[in-house]
Amino acid sequence: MGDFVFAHLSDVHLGAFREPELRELNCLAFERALDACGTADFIIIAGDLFDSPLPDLSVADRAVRKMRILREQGKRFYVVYGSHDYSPGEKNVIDLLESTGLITKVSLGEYEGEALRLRFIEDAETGAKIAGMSARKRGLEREHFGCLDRKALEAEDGFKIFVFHSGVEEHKPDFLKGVDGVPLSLFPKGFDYYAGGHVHARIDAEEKGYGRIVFPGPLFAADYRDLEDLRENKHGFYLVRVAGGKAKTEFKPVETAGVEVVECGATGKSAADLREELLEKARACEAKGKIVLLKVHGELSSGSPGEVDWNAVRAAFEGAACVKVNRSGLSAPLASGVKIEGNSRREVEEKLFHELAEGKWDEKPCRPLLDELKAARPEGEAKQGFEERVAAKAEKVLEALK
Amino acid sequence: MAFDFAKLSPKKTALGAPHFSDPRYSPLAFDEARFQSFEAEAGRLTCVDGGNASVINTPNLSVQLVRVYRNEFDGGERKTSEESEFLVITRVEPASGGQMLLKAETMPLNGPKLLQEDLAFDWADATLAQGGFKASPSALGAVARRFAEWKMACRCFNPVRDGTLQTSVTNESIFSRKAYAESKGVFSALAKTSSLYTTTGLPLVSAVARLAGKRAAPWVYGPLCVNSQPDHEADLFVAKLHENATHCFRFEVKRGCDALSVLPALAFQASDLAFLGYPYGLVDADKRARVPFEEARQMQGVMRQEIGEGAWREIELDSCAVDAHDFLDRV
Amino acid sequence: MEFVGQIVSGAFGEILARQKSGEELEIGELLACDEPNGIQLLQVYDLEYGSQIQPETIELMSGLRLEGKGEKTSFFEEELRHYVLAKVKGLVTVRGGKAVSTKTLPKFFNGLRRIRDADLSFLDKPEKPLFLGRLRSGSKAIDKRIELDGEKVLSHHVLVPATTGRGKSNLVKVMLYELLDKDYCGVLVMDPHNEYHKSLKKHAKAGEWLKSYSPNPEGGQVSLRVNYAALKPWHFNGVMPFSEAQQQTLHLAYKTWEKDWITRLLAGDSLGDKVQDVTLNVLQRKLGLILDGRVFVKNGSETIVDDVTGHLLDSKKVVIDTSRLGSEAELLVASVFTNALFNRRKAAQTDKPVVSIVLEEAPRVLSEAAGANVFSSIAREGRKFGVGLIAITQLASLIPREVLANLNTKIILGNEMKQEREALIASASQDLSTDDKAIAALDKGEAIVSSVFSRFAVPISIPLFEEHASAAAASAPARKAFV
Repeated sequence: MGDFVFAHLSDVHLGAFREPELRELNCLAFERALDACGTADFIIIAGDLFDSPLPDLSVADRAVRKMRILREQGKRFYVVYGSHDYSPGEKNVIDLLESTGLITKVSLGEYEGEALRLRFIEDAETGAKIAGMSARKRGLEREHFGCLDRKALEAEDGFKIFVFHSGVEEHKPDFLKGVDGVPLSLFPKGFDYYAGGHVHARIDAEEKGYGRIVFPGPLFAADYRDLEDLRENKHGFYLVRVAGGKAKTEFKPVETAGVEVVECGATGKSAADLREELLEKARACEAKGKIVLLKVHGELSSGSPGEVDWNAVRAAFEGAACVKVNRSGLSAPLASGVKIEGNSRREVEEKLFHELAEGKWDEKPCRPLLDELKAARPEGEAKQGFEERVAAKAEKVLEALK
Repeated sequence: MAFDFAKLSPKKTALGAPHFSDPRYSPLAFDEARFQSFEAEAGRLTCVDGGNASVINTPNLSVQLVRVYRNEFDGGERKTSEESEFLVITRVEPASGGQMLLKAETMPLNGPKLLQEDLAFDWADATLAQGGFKASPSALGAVARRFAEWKMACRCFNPVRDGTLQTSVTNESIFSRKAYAESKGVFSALAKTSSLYTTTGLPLVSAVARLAGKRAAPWVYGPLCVNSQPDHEADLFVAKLHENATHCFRFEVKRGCDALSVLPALAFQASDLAFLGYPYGLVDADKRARVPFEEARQMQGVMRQEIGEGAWREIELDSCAVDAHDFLDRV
Repeated sequence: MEFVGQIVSGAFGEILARQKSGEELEIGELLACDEPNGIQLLQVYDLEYGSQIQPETIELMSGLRLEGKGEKTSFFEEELRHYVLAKVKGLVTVRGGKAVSTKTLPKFFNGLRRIRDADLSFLDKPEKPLFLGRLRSGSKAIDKRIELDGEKVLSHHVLVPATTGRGKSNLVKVMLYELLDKDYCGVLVMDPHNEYHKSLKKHAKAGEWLKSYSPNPEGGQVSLRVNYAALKPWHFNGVMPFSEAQQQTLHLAYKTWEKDWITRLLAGDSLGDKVQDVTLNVLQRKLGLILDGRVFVKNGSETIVDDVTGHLLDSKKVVIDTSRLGSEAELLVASVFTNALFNRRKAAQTDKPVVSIVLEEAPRVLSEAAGANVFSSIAREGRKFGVGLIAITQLASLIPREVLANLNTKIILGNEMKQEREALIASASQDLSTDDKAIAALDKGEAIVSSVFSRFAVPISIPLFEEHASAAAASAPARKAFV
C-alpha cells in the first residue's frame, strides 16, 4: 500500500436554517471544503451531509453539482447516514446519491444470528478498507454496536477506517454531558482511523488499543449553538495523510463569516423600551459581513414580544450577513401556564393529565393512548402502514377503557 | 455416746419359709422346682389404677377427688384409655345407739359413673378404724376409690390391678366378685410393695430373689401358699419380669387361673426403659390415676367460689381441728 | 386441620409448644394459631427436648444401651413420652386482613399449624417494590415474594451484614436485578469484584437502564476515567488520612489553582510561604500513589461525573468496576461520584427519585476511625434528600451505634461471630433478642429482614441469582434488520 490522503468531513447539515443567508453560507462552506480537497484521494462524510432526509432540492442540486466535479476528477465519496439525513423505512437523499454512483455507503452488514457482521469496502486505488455504522434515530444504533462482531473486524488486515455517526462516551464535550454516547468498548479495536461525526465539536484523540479518534465538528453550523461556537472556534474538516500505514491529521478551517453575539435582557422593560434598546445596540454593533446572534431574554413588564418590531431590529444591524434572533427566553408579563414538576417524563405527563382534567373528565385513557401515539415507527415499516396500525391500536385502547 | 453403725449391717440369715399370720394361708416351703421361666411375648392386658386426694378435710366433712383409670395395650400399642373422675363427699351423721355413720355420696365429674350407689359405713368399722380410733370421713375417699377400681376392672380384658387381689374393706368382696365375673380373660395383680415375710424375718420377695440366684429372668416363683381365704380369691407368686430389672414383685392371679397366661405379656411390657421390670401399662396407669396436690387445691378454689365466702369460713373453722399439723409443717 | 404442635405453657414472647410426633419443627419456622378474631403468626426460635421421664432415669437408660445391657429393652409409646418442645414467639396478629402487633397470648392448648397463603394476605405488594427474596419458614422457601416499599427502604439506608460465603453478593445481585428497570430509584454500585455488571447485563432492559464503567471496559462498559478537574479536597475525606497541615494545604491549593490544583500539586508547584516544602512533598507523594494516571487523568473524560449523576437522577443503575483499583482509589472514585450526587440533590431541594449507593466493606467509611466524610453524612442526613446507602459489611460492630441505628433496614445473613450478632440485635428495628441462634443457624441464601418498614422481622430465602434471572428474563426483542 502506498501513501495517500483522504478528507474527513461530517455534520455539514446542508439545508439547515430557515434563513436563506445562513443556508447560503452553509452551501458555500461545503463548496469551499471540497475545493480544499484537491490532494485527497477520497472523501469520507461521517453523516449528516444534509439536514433532513429529503432536503430542499435547490440545496441538494448545488451539493451534487459540486460533488460531481470531484467525482469526475476520480475522487470517491464514502458516506454513512447521519441522524438527520436518515429516515427509517424510506428512501432518502443519500440513497438517491448512491444510486447515481456519486457516493458509496459504507455501513454494510448483516446479522448472522445475534452477531452483526459488517463488511469492508475496499478503496480500490489506495487499498484502504472502510467499514461503518450509520446513525439511527434517538441513538438506536447503540443496539447495533452492542451486537457488533468486533473480532471479525479486528482480524482484518490493512489500513482500516471505521466511519460512524455517534458520540463516544469517553470523548464527549461538556455540552453533551448527560447525553448517552456509545462506549469505546463497543468499537472494534485496532483500526487506524476512527472517522466520527454527530458531535459538533472538534476532537482529535489517540486511544490506547484503538487508534486515532477524530471528530471534525460541524463544517459550518446547524443550529444556534454552532453559530455561537463559531465566534470562538474555527469550523472545518480534516485532511488525513497516510504514510507508511500511519495517519497524520491536519485540520482545515473553512472560512465563511464572522459571528457577533449581542445579548439583551428584557426584565422590567416594556416592549417599546426593549425595542429602543435593541435598535441602539444594533446601531452600535459592527455587523458588516457578519452573522449576528441576537439573544433576548427576560420577562417584559408590559406589552408582548410580538410588539417589538423584529424586522426593524434586524434591519438595524447594517450590512450583517444575517441576523438570527433567539427570543425563546423572552416572555410577556405574568405568563400563564401549567407548571408541573416531576422526576421523570412519565410522571410529568401523568400529573399534567390530572391537572388538566381537574376532575371533570376521565384521565385514565390518556396514559395508554399517549404511549401508543408516542411509539416510533419501526425500521422497515412504511409510513401509511404505521399510521394505520397506530390508529387501530389507539381505537382499541379507547374501546377497552369504555 | 457413739453409735455402732455396724449394727445396721444386715445379718446373714437363712431363707426360712414363707410366713402368713392368717391361718387361711398355708405356706409352701421354698423349692427351686417352683421357679418357672418364660419368654416375654406381646399380648393384651388392661391395667387399672386409682388415686385420690383431699379437697376438704374437716372432722365432719370430707371432699375427696378420686380418679380411676384404665389402659389397654396389645403388646406395645395402646388400644384404649379410659378415665373416671368423681368427688366423694362424706359427712358424719348420727346413728342410733350413740354411733356415727359416715355417709358418702359420689358426684361424677368426668367419664363413666362407676359407683351408682352411695356409701355408708359405721365409723367404728374395723376395716376402717385404726388402732382403736374411729374412722374419719376422709377414709371413705380411699374406699370409694377401691370400689371404683373394681368397677373399672369389670370393663377390662385381662385386667391387671396395681397391688393385690386382696379385699380389705367391708363389702369390698362384693365388688371384687362382680369384677371377676364381668371382666374378660385372666384377672391378676402386681404389687410394687409387699409386707410379707419369711419365717426368718426376711422380706418374702427378697428371699425369693435370693433363692433365684442368677436365674435368668423373666421367671415366676410360686405358688407361695395354698390360699383358702374366701375374700382373697388369688394364687400368690413372686415374679421378676426382666433380666436387667432390680426389682421382683408380688404377683397374684385369680384363683385357679394360669399365671403364665398373662405373665409373658407383663414381661413384654416390663422391657420399657423407664422402669425396667415393671409393666409399662401400670407405670402409665399410676401416672394417669394420680391426683396431685395442686389439682386438689385448684378444685378447692373452685369450690370456694361456688360455696361462697360465708359458708367457706365455717368450713375453714372446722378444718382447723385437723390441719394444725400441715400448718406447723409450713412454719 | 393439620396441627404440627400445641401450646402447653410459657409466657409472652416465650411460648412453649409441644411438637407433634412425626413432625419436625425448625428454628425460624413460621406457624399460625387460629383465634376467634383472627390469626396469630408465630415463629420458632428455639428447640429443646421434653420427656415425661426424669433426666437421671434417661441417663441410666442410655447407660444400659451404651454398655450393651439394653438389648431386650425399648421405649413404650416413645412419641408420647419423648418429644420436642419448641419455644415460640408471636410475630403479628392478623385481623380482617390487617396486621397488628401481637399483644396477647394465644389461647392455651391451641393447636399450631403451618402457615398458608391466605394467612399472608396482609403482605401487600407496595407501589414501589423492593424485592428481597421469598418468605422462608425454617429452611423452606414459601412462594411468597417479600417486597418492601423501595422508596422508603432505600432512602432510609440498608445494611447487609454477613460473614464470607453467606450469599451477600447473590443478594445484592438479585436486588439490583429486580430494581434495574424501576424508575423510582437510581443506584450507584461500587463493584469491587467486577461481578455485578456481568450479572445485570443479562436483564432484558439492561441496554436502557444499566450504565457500566470500568478501567478495562468490555462490551458496553464505558472507560472509568475521572478528570483531575473533577477532584476536590473534600473528596479525600475518609479516603486517605491527611494531617491537619496537609488538609489545609489541599484546600489552599484548590482555592489558589482552581481547576488545575491537582496538576500543579503533582508537579510540585509552590504555594509560597504559607506551606512548607515538606508538606508539599508528602502530599505530592501521597497523591501520586493514588492518582496514577490510569483512572484519574489529566485530559479527557470531563463529563463523566455529570454523566453518572445524570444517570442516577434519571433512575438508571450505574455500576463502577473497581476490581483493579486499590482500596483508596476505589473510595476516591466513590467519593467523587457520591459528593457530586449529594450536592446536586441538596441544591435541587428534591428527594426523588431516591438514589442509593452500594458500598462494600462499609466500615472503611462509616467507622469512627474514618472520620467525617460524605458517606457518614449521607448515613446521618441523606434521607432528607432521598439519598441512601446500601452498606455491606462483615463487621457491623465497627460501625458506630448511632450510624447503625440510622440504617433502618437490616438484611441479616448468617453470622457465626457472637459479637457481630449482638451488635445487629441491639440495633435492629424489631426485638431480635431471641433470634441469636436463628441468625447463627442461617444457611447460605437465608436472611432475616429487620426493617422499620416491616411489621415483623421477616425470614427470607434469597433465590439463586442465576435461576432467578433466567426465570425473570423476558424473551429478547426481535432483532431489527441492519439497514
